[in-house]
Amino acid sequence: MPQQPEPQRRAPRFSPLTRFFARAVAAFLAATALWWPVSDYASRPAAFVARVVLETAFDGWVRRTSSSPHKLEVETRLTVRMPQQPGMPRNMVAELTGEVDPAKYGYSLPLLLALLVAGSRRHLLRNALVGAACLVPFHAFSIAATLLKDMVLGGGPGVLAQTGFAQWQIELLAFCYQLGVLLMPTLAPILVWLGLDCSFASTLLRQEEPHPPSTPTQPEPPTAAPAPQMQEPQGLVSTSPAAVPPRRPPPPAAPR
Amino acid sequence: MRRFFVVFIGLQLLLFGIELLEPVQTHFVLPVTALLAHVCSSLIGAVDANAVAYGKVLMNPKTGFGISIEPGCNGIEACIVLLAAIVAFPSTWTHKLIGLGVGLVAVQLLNIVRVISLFYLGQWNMAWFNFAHSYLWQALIMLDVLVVFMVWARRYARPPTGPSVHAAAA
Repeated sequence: MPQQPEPQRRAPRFSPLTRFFARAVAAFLAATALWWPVSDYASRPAAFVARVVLETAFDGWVRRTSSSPHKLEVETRLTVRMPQQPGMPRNMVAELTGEVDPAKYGYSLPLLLALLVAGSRRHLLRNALVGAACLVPFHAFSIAATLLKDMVLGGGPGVLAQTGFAQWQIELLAFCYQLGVLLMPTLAPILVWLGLDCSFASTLLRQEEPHPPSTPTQPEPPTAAPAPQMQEPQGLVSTSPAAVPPRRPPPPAAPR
Repeated sequence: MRRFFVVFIGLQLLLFGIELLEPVQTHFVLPVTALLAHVCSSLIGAVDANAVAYGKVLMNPKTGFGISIEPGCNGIEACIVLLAAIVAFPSTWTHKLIGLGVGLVAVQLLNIVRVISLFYLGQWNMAWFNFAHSYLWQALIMLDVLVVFMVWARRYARPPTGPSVHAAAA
């Protein structure tokens, strides 16, 4: 009795990369909506690290730091002359304080979670926790750089002179601020994701169909001649034949 | 892969530092930002006459509402990331130039969508404007950079030559 041919799986309508991008955008919107109400709590580890760095590295003029909901405040020994106002004594000075909302740069977390969900989803919880921990230093960098820029550069020449910063340190501070605000919150989660889900990213780049975590890989059908064993080099680019687009089969000959 | 990340991050820091220099800001960044505002006002003008560009500011002359396109919103930083990624990835220079030409246009096209959407969102609801401006669009632009890079890398990635390849071909 002839065997029924196996039903052919319908080819996906969209490429793996298109599906990945659509999943990533949808997951990011959902993750951001979930992150927004708890953004203050999610930012507290980074805020703590930023406080330690500021109190340790700049203890000469940082008096103390404090945290409250959606606020990290820095009290300094830097004095500023108050503008003359009616009814107030002349030549009043005040001590400079700075504050920032740590959650302002915390959206790297929902972006990372979205990439993990859109990716292979292998060891999702573990990767999410490890990835969130990896993002803390980058987030703390953004918080500290913003505070330093606002206080040191925003306080005016008088404040600048009190800090004792050399010109190159001031330029470096401005550079770190731009880096921390413009690049790190979006680039760090992508780099962390590439480190955690490297195999999935490599599969996308090799134009292969990524295997979902729930579907076991099916055994290859036996071939007439065994294929030579190729050792794949380390890196994103593969020498596997799968990296080359398959040739289209020739059209069937027309019947006479 | 290690080499890719070292070159990528090093090139990015270098280009970012160059972008922050005063002459570069004056002669490149500000004119590009003003051009972006002008393009957005021209596109809006096709359907809505209430949009005018003054330098890097896009403004509704009727309501007085305006947005100033600042660093981070002009798409230059995203273009720097894409440029660094393409240059760092193994490929021929011809393919790199193709990727840069098409990729930079793709990034700026989405950036135009960002600016126009924020222009209207700000006139509708400032809370949603702040949310979209500070969180949503920043990440979406970088996702766009990632996907543009991956599309280019899938098409133009050059397999490394080495002993394993020659032994398999023999």
